[in-house]
Amino acid sequence: MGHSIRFRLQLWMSCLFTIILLVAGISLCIIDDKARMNSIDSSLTHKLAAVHFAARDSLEFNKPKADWQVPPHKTAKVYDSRTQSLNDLLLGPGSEQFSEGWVQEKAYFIVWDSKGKRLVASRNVPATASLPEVTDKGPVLFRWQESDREAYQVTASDDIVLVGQSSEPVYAEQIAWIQQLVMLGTALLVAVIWGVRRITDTIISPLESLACQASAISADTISRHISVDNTKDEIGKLAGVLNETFARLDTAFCKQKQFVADAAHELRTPLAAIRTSIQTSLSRPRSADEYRMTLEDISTRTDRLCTLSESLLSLAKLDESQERRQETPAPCAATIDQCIFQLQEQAALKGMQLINVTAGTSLEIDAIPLQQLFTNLLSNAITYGEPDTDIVIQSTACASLPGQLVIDVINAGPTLSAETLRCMFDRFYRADPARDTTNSHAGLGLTIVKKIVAEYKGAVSVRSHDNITTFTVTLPVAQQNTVTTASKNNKEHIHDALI
Amino acid sequence: MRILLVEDEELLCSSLSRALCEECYAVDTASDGDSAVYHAENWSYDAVILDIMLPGCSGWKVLERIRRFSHVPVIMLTALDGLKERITGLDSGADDYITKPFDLYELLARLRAVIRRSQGHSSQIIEINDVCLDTQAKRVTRSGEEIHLTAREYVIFAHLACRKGHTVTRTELYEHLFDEKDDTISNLIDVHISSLRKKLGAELIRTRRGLGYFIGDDL
Repeated sequence: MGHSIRFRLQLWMSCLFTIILLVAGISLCIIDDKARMNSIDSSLTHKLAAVHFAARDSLEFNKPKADWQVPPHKTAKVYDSRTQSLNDLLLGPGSEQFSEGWVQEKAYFIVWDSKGKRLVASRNVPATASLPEVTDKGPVLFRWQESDREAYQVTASDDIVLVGQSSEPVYAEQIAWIQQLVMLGTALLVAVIWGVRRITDTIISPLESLACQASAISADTISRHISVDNTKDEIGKLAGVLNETFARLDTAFCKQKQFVADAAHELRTPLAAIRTSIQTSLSRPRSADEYRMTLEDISTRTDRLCTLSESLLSLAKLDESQERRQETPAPCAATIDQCIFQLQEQAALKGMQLINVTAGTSLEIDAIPLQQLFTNLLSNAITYGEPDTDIVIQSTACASLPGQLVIDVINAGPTLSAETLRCMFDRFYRADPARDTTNSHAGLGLTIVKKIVAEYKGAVSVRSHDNITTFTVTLPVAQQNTVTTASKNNKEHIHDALI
Repeated sequence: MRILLVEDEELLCSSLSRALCEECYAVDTASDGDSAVYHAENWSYDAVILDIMLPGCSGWKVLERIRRFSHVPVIMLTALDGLKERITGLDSGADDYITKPFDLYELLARLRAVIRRSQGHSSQIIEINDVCLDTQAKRVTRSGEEIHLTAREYVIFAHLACRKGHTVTRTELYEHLFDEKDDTISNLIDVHISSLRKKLGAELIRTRRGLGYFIGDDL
């Protein structure tokens, strides 16, 4: 549980190899045991054949000389009994193979006649050797007599021949062999455990170095990268993934830092101005006019702080709103009209007119956040647009992209530079820094627009040429409704809209 | 004392410059980095109050450019209060670092401190013979008796006293006592000097003919 992967890997692999070695060793022992038994049995069978022939030959013990097929230089003997014949054949001179050789091999033989009388036996017959009980003629049978292995057979003349051999030398050999096997196995096991350690080290140490490097990375050192020897292998890929993640975090951190710095500047500068104004005014007696001027200045700054705090709060709300707000569907055209109504007065101050050309679009939109979207775009157009011109807002259900609502806000004004177009949606970006003090814009309006659009998986873009600036917002209306609303009412609306 | 105030926020700039004027400083203002460097290059200031977040060119760059030709004391004015920012600020040549929203009186005290240090004084009281000048209270006493000076007289005397032992040229006096909006004609300095001599004793401020004025302890 609390053990490291290295430990577990080593434990499991060692166990596995031990089991494999054990199974292999036991199998080898069994196979070896069988082979030895077979070799004893086959040697006994061979020996039995020799005794068998002797027993058969002894049946002819009393035949005359002439009938014997004896080589000319040999003399054939005539025996009085089978016992004598067998004794001579198996233990007499010239039969050292049986009388001496087999004794050295700890092999022995016994021949019984059909009546169970022991005809002949080698001199090293153990006391335990007894007449086996047999019924069938012919097959060679085997038995264990204590530690002796015996083979026996009933001959054609109902004699019983038996050959036995002590298994002790074989056992001794087998035990020595098993000892060797165990030693070899132990050596192999040690080698395997060492190998397992090496393998786990090879796998784990790059991981450990990775973990070590990654743990050394904190918020301050996040731009540092993890380095690995081989970037192509799995560890290298992991390091790559981590580096990418850190890079993304780094970007997020930087953005966050920039935001905090910007917000600090935006909030503290008006506060500093207000504080200094007040302290300067209070430092000595002033005329009523001077007080009025100070208060007016402070009022302007306070207004700006209010707008700023509202904007910051709505941004924060957008940031945290993973859970969906309650939707308030309303016709698109009506929502835009409402925004225009609110901003009319502000536009009129600059001699501007707001024109809504939302013709025949009965698409429904989520009114509350989108109202803020339109308000921000329009007030942006009012602030930066040329005085005494018209601002056009048009929304169309896009023909080429079904289910997409395209909203354009078009105003006349100086053509914007590429730099401005690029930074426009950044927090606290203002097209003209000098305007800073003259209007109450905090530079968050377009950031909020971007957030809202992102919330609805839409897109916002801006283009500017020939002194005309156009903001285009694309919202996937139908999809957004099907995804976000479960109510049947809305589905009917979508159906209508799609028709 | 002439101060350069670099701040892009209009209200902060105007109210701070008014407060500084009321403290008898001559104040020039600049609202962006380039004009700040231009001012610092063309006039001699006793201190610079420099905002960091300026449109166009950041306060750090302005500081770096000013440091290439001048050792004028610089107080950085910033909305960033991280420890790292403070250390960077002080290490990159700033003499002091103050965060917004600051207290006006703290800023004024720090301003006096950096000016005093840059002129080699450690105390706010300067004594010349029996005349004693308190730069904080803006009070001048002679043999323990308070002498009433006008604002102009005070700044001229304070400047001469701060440069005690040195000859101060008329140009230097103009540079340090009047900001660019002042259109005081040159004669006025002589008028103020003669009135100062009446109040503080004829021997205190000596004229070095063709060079300027001189204040020093009697040998």
